[in-house]
Amino acid sequence: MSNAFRTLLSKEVKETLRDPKILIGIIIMPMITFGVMGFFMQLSFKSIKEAALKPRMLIIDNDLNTYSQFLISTLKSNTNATLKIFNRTALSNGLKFAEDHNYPIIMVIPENFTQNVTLGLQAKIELYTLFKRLSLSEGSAASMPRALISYLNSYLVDKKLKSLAPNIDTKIFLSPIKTVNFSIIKGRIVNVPPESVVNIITSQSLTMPITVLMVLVFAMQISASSIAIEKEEKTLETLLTLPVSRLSILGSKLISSIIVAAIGSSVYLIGYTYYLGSFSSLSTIETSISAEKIGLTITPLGFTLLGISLFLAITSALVLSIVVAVYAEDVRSAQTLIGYLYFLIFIPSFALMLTDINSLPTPMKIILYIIPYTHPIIASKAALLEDYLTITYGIIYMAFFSLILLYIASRMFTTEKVITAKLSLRFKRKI
Amino acid sequence: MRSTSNLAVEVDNLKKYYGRIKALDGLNFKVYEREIYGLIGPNGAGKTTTLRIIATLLQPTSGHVYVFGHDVVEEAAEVRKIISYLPEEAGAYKNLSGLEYLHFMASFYSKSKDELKIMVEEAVKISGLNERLKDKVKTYSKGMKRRLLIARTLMVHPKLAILDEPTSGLDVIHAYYLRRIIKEYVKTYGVTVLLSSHNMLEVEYLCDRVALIHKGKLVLEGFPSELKSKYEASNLEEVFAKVTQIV
Repeated sequence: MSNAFRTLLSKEVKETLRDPKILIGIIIMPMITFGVMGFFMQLSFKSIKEAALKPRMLIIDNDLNTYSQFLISTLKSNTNATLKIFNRTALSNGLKFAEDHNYPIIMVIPENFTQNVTLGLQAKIELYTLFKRLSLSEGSAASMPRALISYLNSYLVDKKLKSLAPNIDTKIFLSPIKTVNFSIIKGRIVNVPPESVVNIITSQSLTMPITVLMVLVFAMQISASSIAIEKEEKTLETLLTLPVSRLSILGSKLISSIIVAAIGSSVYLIGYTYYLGSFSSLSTIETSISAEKIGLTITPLGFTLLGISLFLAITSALVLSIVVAVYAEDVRSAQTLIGYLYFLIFIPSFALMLTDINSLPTPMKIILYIIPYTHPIIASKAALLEDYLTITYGIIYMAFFSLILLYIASRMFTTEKVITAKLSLRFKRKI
Repeated sequence: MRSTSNLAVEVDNLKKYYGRIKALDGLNFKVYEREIYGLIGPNGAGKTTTLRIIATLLQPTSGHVYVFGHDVVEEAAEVRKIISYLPEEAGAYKNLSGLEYLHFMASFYSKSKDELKIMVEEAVKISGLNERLKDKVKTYSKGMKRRLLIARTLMVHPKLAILDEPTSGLDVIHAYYLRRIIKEYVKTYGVTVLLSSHNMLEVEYLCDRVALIHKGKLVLEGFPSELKSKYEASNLEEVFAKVTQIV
């Protein structure tokens, strides 16, 4: 790297990172936004979890017999529930108490509960969930008593069956057919139900489009600003008369934009991961299956190709935004012009977030393939499936697109176009 | 590169069109080494376009311009090594300190760290901004910014300094300070200066020779004293008024 280029690059990075608008917009704001969102999510999930695992429950025992006692003693000894027990009381009394003392669950065991169970009749337990604040945690508070009733059900069935036929296996009797689920991934059979694979695919197919979207939008904003600010602050003319090649000036703007966009995207992704992580605190039972376990991993070759694909997408987006920003006279108009290009990123990102490109109608497919920013998103899935040919086609297309844009940008920078280019809004003049 | 004796700038039948608008219409003039040459003329006469072409920013529609024998189109990179250009509405990077800005600019012209240090020290002296150079450019007044930019233009010891309205928009004190600096600097280092100005007092004070441009053509050229006596005027302003009326 030549000295002049290094100096230009260092100036570009310094100027960009010291710009309060960029510092706040791409580093501080995402950190605060995701931090705060994640914090509240975790707080909310913590209260849901607590409500589910340690419910406050008011029990009205109108039975006062063997099975109601059995249920209450199981609740007392096996759970962390906070219990308040009323004997032989009307629901209205219990409701008043529950409202006043914040008991979101009321369990009413009717008078003839034990008798019905013993006689083999269907017994009833009433569960009331009190919605005072319309919160998620109120809704989740009934999960434990329901689970306990379900346990009691199994216990009673088991007991009844054993009394009729001592050698019977209750499990087999109740479910004589068991489904064992397998998934075949990349030709390999894994003992995992398809729902789990879908979960992993969904999370991965969401992450990549969002990553591509954010990186490209950041990079385009920064590179467009870097050229527009030179025009706005009247520094471009001086810069272009310095004894340094015009291509070095263009290159330094591109690379500095990549550096700053990488910082911005990292901050965004850290924030986003933290935010997503806050959802995982919701699950009370560990059911997650890692992508590695089922063989959905990317090989080093896949990573390399995916990297090239992303790099070309970023490069072409940067050059495109510089070419467009040359026509703007200040940062604000540059941002407006760049805004018109966002559809090129938003369309593939949102279209491919939940849909597979091959399931789309042909005209839609063609439109998406023409948009260069579709290819890194397709590449992310193709890398998982080791479909390197698809990634390579995308790379060739994006390389071609980037080269054309680079040629246009270099022509602009080596001629007077960079100074004289202005977007003529003819319709405005006619008004 | 063509051979020149003591010619710094040679403008030969220069024409420039912006679409259908004619900015320069066969302009010719020569600037000799170590002289301060002033371009004067009404708004839209083509002064800034001429300076921008000489500074390699714009390309002529036809005609030629040579800077110390180098063609500004064919040998633009060579020209950029020996010129230093100050545009009329120039700015500096607002998030850098004055000192960082000077370091940044000097690094393109200096061949060693020592040379860079000398250039920056000289700029510090020229600007007269002292401790304020440690502050970010965005905190500077218009006058301070212009002093910084003049210092940046001159510190690199260019063979040709191109100054477009060097004191435009400045108050009397700042303008006086800068004119004095330019004059002293040229005398000390033997730099050739090509400047444009609306201020006839400034032109008279600074320039060895002046050229009046009107509608993209050169209509008058000479030493200020010669022009004043030719048009029986007490100052260049009168000469300017008389000539633009008859053109």
